[in-house]
Amino acid sequence: MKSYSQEYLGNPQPNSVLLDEVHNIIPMWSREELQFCVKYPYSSRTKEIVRWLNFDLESLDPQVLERALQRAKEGIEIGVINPEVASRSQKILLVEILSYPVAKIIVSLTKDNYLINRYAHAEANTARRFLYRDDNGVVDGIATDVGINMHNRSVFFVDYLNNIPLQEQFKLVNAPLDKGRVTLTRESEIEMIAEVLRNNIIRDLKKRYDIPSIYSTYAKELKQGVSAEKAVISDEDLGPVDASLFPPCIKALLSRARAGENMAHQPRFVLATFLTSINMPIDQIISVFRNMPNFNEKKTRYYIEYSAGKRGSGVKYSPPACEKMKYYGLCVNPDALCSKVKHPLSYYAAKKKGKRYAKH
Amino acid sequence: MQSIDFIRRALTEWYQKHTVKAPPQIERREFGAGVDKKIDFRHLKFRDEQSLNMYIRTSSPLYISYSAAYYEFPDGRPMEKKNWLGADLVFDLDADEYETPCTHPNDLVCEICMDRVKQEAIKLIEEYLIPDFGFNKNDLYIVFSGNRGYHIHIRNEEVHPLSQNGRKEVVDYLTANGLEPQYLGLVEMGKRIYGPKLDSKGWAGKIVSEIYSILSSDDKKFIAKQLGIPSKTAERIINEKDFILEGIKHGEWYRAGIPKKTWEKAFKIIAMKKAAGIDKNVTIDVSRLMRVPTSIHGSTGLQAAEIKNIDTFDVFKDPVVLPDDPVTVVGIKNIDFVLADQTFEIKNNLKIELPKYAAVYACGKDMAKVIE
Ligand code: SF4
Ligand SMILES: [Zn+2]
Repeated sequence: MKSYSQEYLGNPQPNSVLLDEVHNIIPMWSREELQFCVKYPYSSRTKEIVRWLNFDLESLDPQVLERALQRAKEGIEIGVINPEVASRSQKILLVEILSYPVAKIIVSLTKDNYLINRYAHAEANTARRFLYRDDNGVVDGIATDVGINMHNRSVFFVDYLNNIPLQEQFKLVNAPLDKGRVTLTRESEIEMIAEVLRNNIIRDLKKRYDIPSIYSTYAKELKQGVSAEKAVISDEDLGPVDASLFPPCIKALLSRARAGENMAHQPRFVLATFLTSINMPIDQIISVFRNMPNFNEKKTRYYIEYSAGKRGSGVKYSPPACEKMKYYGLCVNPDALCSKVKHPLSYYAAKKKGKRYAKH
Repeated sequence: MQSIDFIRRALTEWYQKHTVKAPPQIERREFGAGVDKKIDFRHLKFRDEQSLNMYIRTSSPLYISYSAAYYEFPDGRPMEKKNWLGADLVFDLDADEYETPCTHPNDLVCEICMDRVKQEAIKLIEEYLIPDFGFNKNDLYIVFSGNRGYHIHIRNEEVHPLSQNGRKEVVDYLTANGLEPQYLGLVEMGKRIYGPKLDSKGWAGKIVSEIYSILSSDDKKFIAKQLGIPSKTAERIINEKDFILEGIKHGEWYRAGIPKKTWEKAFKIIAMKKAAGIDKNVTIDVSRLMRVPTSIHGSTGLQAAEIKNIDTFDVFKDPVVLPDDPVTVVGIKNIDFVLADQTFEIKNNLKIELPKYAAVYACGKDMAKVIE
């Protein structure tokens, strides 16, 4: 296995680095520059600095480790990170900068998809927040740094579609598509950066590296620290409902929700309406959504009661039929029974009936 | 002999002497084959062109299809074991997507409906795939479906990673689904309405140029109908035409003196009219199986022929590849059809001698059966 510092930090021969010594020998970085790197710890400028520091994971300054753990917790718990951008101390700025790659190591070592998703989501939120306050030059630079292939602010439509959030204003039909390229607006550029960054982080955190054991201790601590908050949803929590009878599409949505994936509107709607249609108790439905990165109990309750027809117009919504599900790309791994039904609810009903007969 | 056995035999004879072309990266594709249904077996995998043809010659399927997708393990099952690596971008245009004045039974075709499909295919290519999506003519691999339409395959590597949601966005673009005038730039600032310009890109530009040409007309009834406005307003517009057209060219929509709501409606009416007609699910479904180009469609005996030039392609002639030795069949309804520049008249309960390609077509479409 490659070592993390070799592949990720690009250090051929890592050194032990104590930041107190470092900051005396790096006058070539201005405070503004370091502040930039605190805001954008994945920028190529930051990578240069980290590479120059050439630190060794074995003997890292303990302050960095502490801040990294805190960074991960902060991100996972509140969904956004608040680094000390304004600090006048070069040392604090360096600690912030290094806390990013180290936090990634710690989260990665938990091997917990829920934590990985939430952490990536938080870093993306953080990026978005800083980018909206910076000027276009910075935004363009960061776009290139995270790997977006841009010419004159335009991107190939496949790259655009694979990374733009599914919102009406970003739909391709409303975008200036010409000769295969979409010209980005400031907003779509920032949203794309956030999404690419999120995907990059998730991809990185799922790689496995050779990491000194001290980091596992931190990973354990992180896991314990946040597990109280993370809802562990097992099939028992579904109440009187038997999840083994669910069609493949709903099972897939359920496990995405449990893994804390930030699902788009359509899949959320399908999951909520399916569960309300089979009369699963509302509190239990809410707990299914608990792991999502931007979970908000009040809003979720309102949303679910709304789909169940207990609010608003009183219209009870149903999940879409299989054909629509296919159209939305939500029909996954259909099985033999699927070819006999036209609606996910009829799949469930058929299975339920089958089960009842099987008992006799 | 059953009609189905007759058709299978006719196809097998042809397959003995001809080779079906392997799609690129054949070893990464899933194949399906069918006799009773279009697909009785799927999850098949072939190493190369030779083994594909070997299979066809020995098992005589009526239908043979392959995945637009590339997999690490094309024969893996269930689906998630295949490990999807990407997929061609495909479009399906079929006669049942369009309203036509045809009176023949639904599964048959005539020149009117087949011409309509062809016009839709040309529109898709010339108004969307080339200018908006930036493909070259050479990127578009066009194939007759073997029955009632066309398939367009885009096999360029750079489209392979497009996600299922991304493909849905492509479909929404082509069908103008989810188009919102405000996101195309139509806004009200102060009391003035501004909007997209004649040189705007994407749907914005399409709509402006359409409105521009409608407003260039001197026919007030036409303008009123096209834009959904009262004919009095249309009359006023005609009187101030130059002033208004000049404004719209540069995005100054207020010059027409029409409320924003009305423009919004007009944008949507025009978008619906210009939208392309395709079978959405075929493009979106990333594990879809498509007819193998150059194979024969078992319900028609027609070849899923590769098309060099769609303008000159003759659906009633070019895909006719089966031989013309005579076969006697008996009609099961009264009906006419055209193939290879000839009209054939089938009469219920009457025997008729047909060239083999027409006999296969008539039996495949349940117009006639072979004699025991
Ligand atoms: S066929 Fe219907 S029920 Fe089965 S997975 Fe697809 S959408 Fe769900
Ligand atoms: Zn017709």
